[in-house]
Amino acid sequence: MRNHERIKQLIGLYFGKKFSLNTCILFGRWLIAEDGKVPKSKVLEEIWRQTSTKSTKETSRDWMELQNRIKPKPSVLHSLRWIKYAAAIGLIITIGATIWITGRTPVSPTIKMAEIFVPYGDSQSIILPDSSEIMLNAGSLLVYPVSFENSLSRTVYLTGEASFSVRKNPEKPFIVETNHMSVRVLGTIFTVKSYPGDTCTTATLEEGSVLVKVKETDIEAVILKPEQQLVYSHKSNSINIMNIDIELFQLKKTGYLIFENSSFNELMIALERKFNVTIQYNSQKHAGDYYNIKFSPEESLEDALRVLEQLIGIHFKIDKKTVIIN
Amino acid sequence: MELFEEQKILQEIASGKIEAFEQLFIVYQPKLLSFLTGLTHDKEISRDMAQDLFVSLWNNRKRLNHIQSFSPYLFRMARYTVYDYFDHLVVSQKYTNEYLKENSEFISEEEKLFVRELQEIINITVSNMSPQQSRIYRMSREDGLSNGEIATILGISKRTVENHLTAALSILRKVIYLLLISLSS
Repeated sequence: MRNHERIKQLIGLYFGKKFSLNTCILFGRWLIAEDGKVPKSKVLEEIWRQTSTKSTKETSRDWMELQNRIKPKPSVLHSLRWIKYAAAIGLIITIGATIWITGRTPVSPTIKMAEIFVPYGDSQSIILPDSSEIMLNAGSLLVYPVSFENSLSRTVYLTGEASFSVRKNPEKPFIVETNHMSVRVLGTIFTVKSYPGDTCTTATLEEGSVLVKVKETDIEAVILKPEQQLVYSHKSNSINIMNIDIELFQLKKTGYLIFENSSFNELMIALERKFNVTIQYNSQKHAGDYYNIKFSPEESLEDALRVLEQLIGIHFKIDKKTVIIN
Repeated sequence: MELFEEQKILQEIASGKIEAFEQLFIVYQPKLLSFLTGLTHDKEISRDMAQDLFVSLWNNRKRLNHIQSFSPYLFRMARYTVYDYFDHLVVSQKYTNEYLKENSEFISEEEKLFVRELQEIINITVSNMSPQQSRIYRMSREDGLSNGEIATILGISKRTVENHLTAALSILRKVIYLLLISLSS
């Protein structure tokens, strides 16, 4: 077989598959080796020419993100740690997509949006132009209009977790859009939790009333009463409404980490968010175990891990931003 | 994208028109992303790479004025990006050897087939070296002999061994033959 044909066949066997990292490294080693650079490059160019892909929702999402990078505007963007930001921004699909579908020459939306991103290990409160108050939890992104004046509603877009204290205005409903759920507020205090990667989206109501609609399903919109929590499970596509202990819930808002019947996994995710660390652990080891634990706001990461050490018998090592548990 | 239209768009981008850049992005970013993902087998990383590449296109937009056809230009950038990616990946994965032995049984038939083909190509490369070069290469990499030992066995100076090895390695730069043997055996 001619060299070119061989190379073509080999790259063909590799391209577009999902091989193990090791095999990818082997391929990489071979690809960047000096030997046969020219035919390899020729084959890559052939593949390049044959690759044609249509733009999708994701493309417009990526464009939105890129736009932010190439024309830095005076926004309240806090941290550009890319990966997490990219995950958080998924929601903007909705905005981007609408612009595409209408097919107009893409122009910036007529409503000016501002965004605020709170990195892990942080939380922040903001006041919207209508003087509604929002408290954003760690690792959350909120996109909101700079002004509500020219719009019929007060719509904000959330990825992550936020508590809202909404100023009453019957003429302009306040709507929180998330990936899976939309919450329409009828004047009130409530919390929405919708982190990318979470298995469920949650809305919790303290005062007033809200209308919750799960998107793209047949599940009917539900009006929540105070002290009720609605949990939408993405996997089973079902909702569950329960009465919650509102005092406990309010404690959480003030920085307490409270776990009731929580899995080890949930524990770890919450600690990662609160302390902005990566925790490496064996998820199998504690599968099926459930914990009831409360951490107060002043407890440090180390304090929390010491508690778990006593309680469950874990061993841990903290190395800067990484925690290793075994 | 029509060639004429593309020229116009490139010129508009060069003069700083972001809407034109958006059009270019919408047409070419999906292609770039598929290409990168096809080679890295990692979509998230490829997305980041594509974004970085477009940022750099925008930052150097003046250059687009002189480009006849955009697709080959983007291909060259993509290719460098991929080479660069593998360069870093190879360096960052020093412990591949042991890991590889442990995990080789879990990979799919498709992947095994690919690894066998890859090994064969490298075999051919080795056999295309001069006999002395390939012999020294195999003694060094397969038998794990030191340069001094090879020099003694072949009755040549250590310096000559080194020269041959450097030549052999420049042909096979960074391809570690032993890794492949351990995987396919």
